[in-house]
Amino acid sequence: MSNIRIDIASEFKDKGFKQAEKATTGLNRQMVALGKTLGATLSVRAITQFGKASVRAFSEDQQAAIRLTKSLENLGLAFENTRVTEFIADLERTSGVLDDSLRPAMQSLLMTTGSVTRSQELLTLALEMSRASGRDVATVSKDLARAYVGQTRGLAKYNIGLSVTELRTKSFTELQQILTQQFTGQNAAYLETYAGRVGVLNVAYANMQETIGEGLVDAFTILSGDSGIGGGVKAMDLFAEKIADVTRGIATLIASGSDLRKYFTTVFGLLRNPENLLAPLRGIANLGRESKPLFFPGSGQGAKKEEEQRRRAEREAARRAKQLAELQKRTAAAQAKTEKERMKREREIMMLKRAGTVFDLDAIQLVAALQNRVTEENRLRLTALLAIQNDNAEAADKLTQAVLMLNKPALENLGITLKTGDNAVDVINKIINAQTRLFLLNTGIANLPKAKNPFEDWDSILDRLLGKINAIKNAIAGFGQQGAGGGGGGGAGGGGNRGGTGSNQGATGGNNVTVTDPSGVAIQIPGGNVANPFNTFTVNGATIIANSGVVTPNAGDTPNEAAARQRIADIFATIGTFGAGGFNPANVTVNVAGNVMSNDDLIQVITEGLYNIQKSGQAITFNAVAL
Amino acid sequence: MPVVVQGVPELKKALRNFAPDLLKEMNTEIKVALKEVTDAAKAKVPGQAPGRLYNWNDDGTEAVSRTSRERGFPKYNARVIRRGLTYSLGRSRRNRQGFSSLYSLLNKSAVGAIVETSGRLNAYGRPQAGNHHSKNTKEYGASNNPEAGRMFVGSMNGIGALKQYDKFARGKGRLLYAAYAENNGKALDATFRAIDKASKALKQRSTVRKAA
Repeated sequence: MSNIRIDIASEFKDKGFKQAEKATTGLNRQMVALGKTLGATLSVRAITQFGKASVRAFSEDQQAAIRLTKSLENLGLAFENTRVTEFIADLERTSGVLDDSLRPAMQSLLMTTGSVTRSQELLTLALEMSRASGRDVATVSKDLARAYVGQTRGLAKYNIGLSVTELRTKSFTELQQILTQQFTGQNAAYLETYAGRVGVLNVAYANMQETIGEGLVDAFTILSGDSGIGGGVKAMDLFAEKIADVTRGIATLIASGSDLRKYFTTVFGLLRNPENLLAPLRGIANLGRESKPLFFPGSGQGAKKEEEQRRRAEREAARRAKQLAELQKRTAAAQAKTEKERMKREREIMMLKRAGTVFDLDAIQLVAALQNRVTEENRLRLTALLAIQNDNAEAADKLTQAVLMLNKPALENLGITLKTGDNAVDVINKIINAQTRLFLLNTGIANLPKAKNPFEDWDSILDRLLGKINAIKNAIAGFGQQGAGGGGGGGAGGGGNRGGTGSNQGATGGNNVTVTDPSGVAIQIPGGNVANPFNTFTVNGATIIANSGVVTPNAGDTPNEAAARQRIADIFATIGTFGAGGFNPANVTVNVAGNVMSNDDLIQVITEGLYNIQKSGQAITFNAVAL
Repeated sequence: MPVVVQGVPELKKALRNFAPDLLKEMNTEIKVALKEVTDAAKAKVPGQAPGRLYNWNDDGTEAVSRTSRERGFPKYNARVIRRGLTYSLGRSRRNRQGFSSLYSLLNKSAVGAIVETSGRLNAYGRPQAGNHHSKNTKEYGASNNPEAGRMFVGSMNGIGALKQYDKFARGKGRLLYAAYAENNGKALDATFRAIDKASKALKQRSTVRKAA
């Protein structure tokens, strides 16, 4: 086992524990702070990582550039490589879009149009459309490239306000004009925003990485010498070592000193006079610049020849565009012709059908029916049928509306309100709804519990009432009949019995009718006789009081209702007999002679009688008689 | 130089007897702090031998010493190295000076120690005297390749620079020592905070019991 260990805590004796910890921690912290400052800038790892990223960025960029160059070569536009490269670089700088996106977009446009000028215009347009729509430049360029060859469906997603037919029928030049009109200025507006400015910075940083990467790759190439890239591995190692040596040396210089203040002073002194550092660096930079491998683009054929080739390429591209436009036109014409033929065929079919209707039996019958004498409504119905038969939808609809309007009053009776625009289906639905509601209502009504006869108890109540009134009447009549010796009430003394002669009105006259007391009220009178207060008898089922006439029941009265009506009439008639004037206010004169009943009893009887009369609704006038 | 403390073994004994839960809690907290350092050290270990030392990778064959020593030069095995980076909560044997470690971080494996300490003495590798010498010494190596030492130390430096966690030269390393140095004393603080907390808790408990 190795003896690599870190003892966090040891035990033995206290050797200034706190001082040791403090010193160690303090020194550690000082070293860490120093390490952070130096390490971040001079750490080998950081430099290596940046270097690697730069080399990667450069190599990817180079690959993309080679692909574009190859495409140009294949299209016979190798001489335009510089122009294209410069254009992309300028566009990258001004738009904030990396050349990683611009190169593939340019490539797709070049391969479609075959013209650098056209591709440049379209790429600029693609950039504007990309900013407006939020889609990446490569996608927009693809859509434009497809639209160039007639596949315009991809342009629909940019919402340019053209229908599918218009996209298909318009030429690419027209579409380009529309797109340019709609999307110009979008990129400029975007660059004004914060995101746009950050994008431009990102482009600058990416370019810086690529440049440095290029420098690193060149450096390794130089270092590898004659052994070429195969020796680059060793060269990179040595390079890394050198860098590591330098950084380590600086760190060691500072860290190994016992007096940090002294060494910081030295370092700051050095930094205060940057010429000390910059002079050698400047020399080195000059050396690097001189060592940069020279790069000559293309075949170096001269400007004149290039111009000629450019013109030829543009002519070729224009010819191809013309061919495409012609092809589009021919396609559109063919489509229009097909459409026309189809319409014509449909018209012919319609005409044949119409001609056939002459021999259509149903139609013949309908026409014949129309010629007969029919009501207006039926005429409309028949005509509607005929229209349906002949597939004349418009006429059928209008006629149906007219039929419905004719039936409006009848429908309103059913609770259906016709509105303008309601068709037969709407009316049928309304009828169904109304009928359903009606059915539910009827069912509900049928299922209602049977109402009680409100007049059920009238008989007994009225009988009792009449009984009481008769009792009072008899009692009052009894006051007079008992004479001087008798009490007004006619009742047995003190007993409080209601006084009343109870004599049957009919009895004294010698009537031989049967007295039936329907209320069952029996009133005891002196002598033990039972008085029938009603004086009623029954004739043909109608109960009559002798002193009132038979009341004719109303049509539709039930027997109970007829009896009640009669009873009420009887009561009024009975009350009417109380005084000489019939329904005149009753004058009750009480002549008290003697002491037949007690005072209180008499008062009670009179009071009860008066209440009962009041209840019957008759007015009472009180007169005091001085005795 | 480790931090020297007094009474921690006694505290641990008391905790074990009277408050095992506090002991467990204290150990857990210390483990967490120490694990942070060992994990950081393990993260520095690359999967393959660094630099261009391809043949140093462990291919499963046993390392045989070419100089008749007991053990051959150990092969590079990242798993072995990581397994060897560990911590210990147990008390170590007393050394000659009378110190015994209570809590320690360890880099146990031989190859781990090689990776940890390469270049500590000779930052640019030992000068090589060639194999006409019978054996190598501390001052000179026996390789025919004059750049052997430089290449080896340079490759090791690919893992990380040597960092020092205390003021002594022996506290310099690129795995465990570097991780501890980067830890900035947090593990140390956490360890003593845990001990302190356990001590206070035990005192509090024993005070309550006394009152009852």
